[in-house]
Amino acid sequence: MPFDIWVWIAAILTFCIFSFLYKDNPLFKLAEHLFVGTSVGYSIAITWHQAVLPKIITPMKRLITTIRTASGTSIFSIPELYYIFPIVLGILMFTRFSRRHAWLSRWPIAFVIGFGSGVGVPLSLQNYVFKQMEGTVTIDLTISNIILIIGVFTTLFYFFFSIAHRGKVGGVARIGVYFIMVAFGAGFGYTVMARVSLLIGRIQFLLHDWLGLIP
Amino acid sequence: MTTERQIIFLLLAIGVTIPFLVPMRLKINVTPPVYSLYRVIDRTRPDQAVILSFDFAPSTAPELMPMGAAILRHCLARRIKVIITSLAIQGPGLAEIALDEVSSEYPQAEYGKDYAFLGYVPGYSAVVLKMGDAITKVYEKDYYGQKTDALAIFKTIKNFDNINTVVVLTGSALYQTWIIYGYIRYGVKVGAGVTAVEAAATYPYLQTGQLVGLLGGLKGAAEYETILEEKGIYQERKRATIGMDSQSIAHLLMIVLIIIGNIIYWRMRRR
Repeated sequence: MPFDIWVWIAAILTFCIFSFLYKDNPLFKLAEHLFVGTSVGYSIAITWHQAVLPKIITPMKRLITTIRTASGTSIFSIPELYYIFPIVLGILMFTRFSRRHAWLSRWPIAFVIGFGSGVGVPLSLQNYVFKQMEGTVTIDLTISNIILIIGVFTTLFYFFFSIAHRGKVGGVARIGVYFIMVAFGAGFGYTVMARVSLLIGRIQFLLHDWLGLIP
Repeated sequence: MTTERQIIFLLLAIGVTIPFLVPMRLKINVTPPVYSLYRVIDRTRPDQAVILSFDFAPSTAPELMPMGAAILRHCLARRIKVIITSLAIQGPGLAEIALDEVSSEYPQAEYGKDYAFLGYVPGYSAVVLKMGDAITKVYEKDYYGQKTDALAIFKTIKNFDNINTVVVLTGSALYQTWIIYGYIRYGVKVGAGVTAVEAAATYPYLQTGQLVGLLGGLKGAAEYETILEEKGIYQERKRATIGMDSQSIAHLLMIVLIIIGNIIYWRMRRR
């Protein structure tokens, strides 16, 4: 394998992180802090280059140039002018750092909540409620659909607390509990797979990229 | 001092490492949700494109990167137009790694004509909503700083009307943003590749048809690689398939440990 300094750094940092499995130590702390710092730095750089620069700085520069050079055209016909409204709203969010002016940050928050509710609520209702109900209410009575309907009904019944869960009612709620347990089991199995996959990813890196022992 | 926890860590490390050195090549069965996603992507017409969204961070890359690489391979091998985006801020860096790896295997695929890499724009729902109107209005420049209007792919691909399916790779519930604002609002098909942790919660969307296919965790990625192999699509390295032997051994170890733990518990209770 050709020597690659970055692969070596990544391998050393991997061992620093793994050292936590023995006990907490300064090498683990170093790697942890490096990870947090790098992530934040990377995120800021990406935001600057892919959001701030193209969506704020460049349009504002274009707006200033157009106002300076264009004569006789209406200012409202310049498309970049309409960037000012969201930019000002965005800047108002920073007023939260001042106690005196913090109330101004409510305007952009109100805008975001208004937009989110207006656009999101009807679509979310369709997504989370109607489509899911449609999926449960089925005329095709196969074994799996019957199990699905019983599962949804009994699970919902378990969360109905206005009637005491005793006798037949308790029996129905009990079946709901079994379905919930199956769901937890599936969730646990998948979680184990996810965590093991992370370890597999690191071992694969060490054996392939670092040591070159596997193809 | 060695504790039981550290013994378990050691056993797990050995259990995961040995199958890499002595591969068992256990059979990988392809499940319907994975095959369904493959079929939907494979049926993309020449006047359509697939959007592949890398909506994840490095913490979930071991599971989601093999999915991204496999789907990219599928698209580039079949000359299916693919547009790479990201709603997650750390996604573009990972997408770039996958793209560099796969595009070098398919030199006939041309950047700007067969595929485009648009990078990241903040705003989740606003981004998806606007893409339904005009993709190049959201991404005026691609990841490399070229004007998207100048790329040949966007002469025919304008908005979701020209998109066959959006494939979201995510370790969170971000696939719902694409379902709500892409599928529900514009009717574009959405498929998902999610981490195993997220998979159990994603299945209801598959059953209702809100998702056209689903890859769950490393197993899902390995299944997709298996399909590509069966269809004769060249893969230089099947990263997920290689890891599945270790996955099986680790699960076996977990089952044994749970049984041992329960036996010890029962014995303690009887005393």
